[in-house]
Amino acid sequence: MDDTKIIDLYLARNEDAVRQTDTKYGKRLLALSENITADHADAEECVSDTYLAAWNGIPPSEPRDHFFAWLARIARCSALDICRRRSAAKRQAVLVELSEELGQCLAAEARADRLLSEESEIAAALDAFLATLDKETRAVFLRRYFYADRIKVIAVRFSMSESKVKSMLLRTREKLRAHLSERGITL
Amino acid sequence: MREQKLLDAFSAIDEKYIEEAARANGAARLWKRFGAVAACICVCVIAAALWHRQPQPVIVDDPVIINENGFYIADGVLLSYSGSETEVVIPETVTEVADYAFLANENAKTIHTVTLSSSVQTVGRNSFAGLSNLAELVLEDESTAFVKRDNAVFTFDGSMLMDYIGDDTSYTIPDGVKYIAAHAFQNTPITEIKFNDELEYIGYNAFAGCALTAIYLPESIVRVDDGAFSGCTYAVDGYIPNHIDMDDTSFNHVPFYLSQLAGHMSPLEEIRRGLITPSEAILQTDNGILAEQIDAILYYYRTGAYMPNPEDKDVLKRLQQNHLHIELPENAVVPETWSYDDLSCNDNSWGGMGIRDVQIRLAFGKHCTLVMEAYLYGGGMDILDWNEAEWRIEQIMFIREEGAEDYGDWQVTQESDSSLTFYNRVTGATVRSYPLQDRSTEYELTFSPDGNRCIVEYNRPAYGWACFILSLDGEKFYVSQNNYVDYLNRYFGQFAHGTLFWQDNDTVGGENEYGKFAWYIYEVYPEQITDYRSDFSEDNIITYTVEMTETYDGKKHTLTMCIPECWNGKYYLDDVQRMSVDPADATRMTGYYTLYAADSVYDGGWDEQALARKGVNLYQGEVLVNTEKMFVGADIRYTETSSYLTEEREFSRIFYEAAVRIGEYAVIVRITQYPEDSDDYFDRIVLPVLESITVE
Repeated sequence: MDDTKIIDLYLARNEDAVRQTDTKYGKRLLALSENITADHADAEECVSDTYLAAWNGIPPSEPRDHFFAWLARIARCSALDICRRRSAAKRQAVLVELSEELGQCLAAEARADRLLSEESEIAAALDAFLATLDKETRAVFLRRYFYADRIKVIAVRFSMSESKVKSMLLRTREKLRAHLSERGITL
Repeated sequence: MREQKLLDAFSAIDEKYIEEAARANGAARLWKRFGAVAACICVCVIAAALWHRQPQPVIVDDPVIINENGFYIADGVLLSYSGSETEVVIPETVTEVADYAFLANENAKTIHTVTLSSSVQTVGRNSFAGLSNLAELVLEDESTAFVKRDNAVFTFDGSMLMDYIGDDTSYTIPDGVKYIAAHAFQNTPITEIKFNDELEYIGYNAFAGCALTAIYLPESIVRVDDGAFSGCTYAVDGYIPNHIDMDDTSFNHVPFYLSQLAGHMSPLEEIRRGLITPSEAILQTDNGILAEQIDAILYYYRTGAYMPNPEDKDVLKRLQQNHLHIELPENAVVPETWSYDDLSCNDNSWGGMGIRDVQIRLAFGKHCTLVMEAYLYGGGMDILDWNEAEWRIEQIMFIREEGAEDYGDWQVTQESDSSLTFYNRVTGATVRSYPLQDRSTEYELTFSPDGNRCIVEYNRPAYGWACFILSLDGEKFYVSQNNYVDYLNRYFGQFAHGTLFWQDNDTVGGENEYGKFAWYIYEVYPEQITDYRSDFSEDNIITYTVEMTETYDGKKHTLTMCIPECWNGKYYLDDVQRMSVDPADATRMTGYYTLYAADSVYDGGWDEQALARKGVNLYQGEVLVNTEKMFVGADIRYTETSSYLTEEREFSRIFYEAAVRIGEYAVIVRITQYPEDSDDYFDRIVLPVLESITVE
């Protein structure tokens, strides 16, 4: 079913909307959530939260053009939240791993020309950076840091060896660090 | 935690990047970048030392061999090494390592490390044979290292199959492979694939467009990327574990995959496992057409309207025209949704016409069952043909629960080409024959001792026209049997009980809670049909030749009429309105009969009820014969064109009139043609023609 039709169902308060959303995107949202939470039950909870948010959020939102991205964002935020609520460090493993990798992008001593604290500001800086990347590199980078895919999974997806993926991510992180520091941006 | 803040911030990046990454795949086939170089040299770096084949000579045309510290290099190919280093670093000028390059080295056993620079793109077969103490093979850039063996290219560690490069049609994924990369088998001639039981991941479009006949995934599978088996339209058999992660396009157009079914198992596999019967399997192989039809039916009964934008408009149109007008019995409860579990199935196949007839039943509450008859056309007896066959619901009716308080329903089933069975569930109800036996000795009716079961046997082919006159509880009960038995089924299903009465001389009326009905008495008997031809012409016209004999004034008059029916589906003769002669001028009418249109367009005729809903008169051809001045002639002329508007579009409608002159009188045949495609209908004039009247 077209995204537009699904949105129409939401607007009409038709509960079929959720079913159609699940049919079309359920698997992908579950995969994203499971990547981050590393737990099937938690992931299902994230997806349910996402549908609830969609039900409550449409209207007023009408994400006709980027419906999946809209859902994916909610699912991702929800998954990160769930991870942090959990006390067991082990269950935060994915979070820690990703954070550590991204830590490399941050200069140890910030020049602090511009201190960004709002998520939207940081995201804008990321957008600017992403725009400088070629399509494949950008996709690989986001598969890792947005969708939290495992390295091996990215390798299969892009027909690359794991080491290629790793070096690609490493180089991209270095570029991000340079990009941020050149502009005097710190977090 | 600044890095966590950064991680979080990814959630807020531009949607277009999120969606781009969601769709992104390894569109470029990496191996192709190396294909040209690799094509002639086999690569094998794993366990090379374990191989014990004899060295093969490396043939290099006009070699310019360079000896560089013991490395013999020709055109970038390392042919051999004669040095004594224990840690061998292959020079950067080398792009390929030949087969068995190290086998002849005297110090082979002391070499424990070999480093390949990133310029090395391919390594030959058994290149490192003889290095029995090789502890480490260092690759400066692992991404360029691939292994070519078993007709495919693998990553260095053998865990990922990158690309299939063989020409064979069958392939077994070797042990050790856990991942199949994007595009690995796409559009290759593979028809049979056997997976190992360690496989976890199948990449984007990995088998897209392959003519695989079966897809049996191992339980180890975790993820099947989008499009992985898309377009594998020949895969009629297989098994997909239920727990795997996949996308809605992973099995696009794979015939056995139905999203409605849990477990994603082919019907054949389900039969093997004893989960379903073959006839149930057939039901599941409609590729969604059946499901859509049922959805449409439920939608109609829930909302009173036709389903908007059905996928298969033709199917639904026919369904709506022919069936959905049946009103719901009072106590019917239309289910909100349905699943395959709700359906029960009864295989009533009678064969003979390449038709497989299955009844699908769906409960509408406790007291009413919606019965749909689905036909599988075309060699349907062989289950393997299901993919070629077309399913559609042909017949819809409601039956009441057994023991319900009404008279019960007459069930008419065709046991063979020459016998019909009438069955009444209600104890005490009787079926008796009425003049039928007097009129035709070709019919035999036998009754069960309780009178509830009546078998009508007739010796003419089933497609002949016939007239049955039965009595129900002493009331006269008239019904006509036309081409197929489902015609009877339809009427009996709806009108098996109720009050019957003579409406006028040639019509029997009836009434029950489903409504009022009337039947004409059709006095065309099988013996009057002297010819029945199908495939009369390339236009697929069927003709009925009807001959009627009357005796008047001691003379026998024989009238022959040919009625062609065009039913090629593109357009068809929709209405034959009336044949009449000016009664005022007729000196005498001796013959009178009505030629009834066949049951439906499928059967090569007209659908009476569909026509009635369009406001078109029933075909009631009256042939009036003047016996005094008999003259046979014909004059056919085109009369007028008009147009009319349907829900979908405007059609042109054409009337033809044929005037058959009989002496001073004319028999006028008027035909309305509704061409669906207006381009070529002028070529196809279809008329009933009075062929001859003879007097003996």
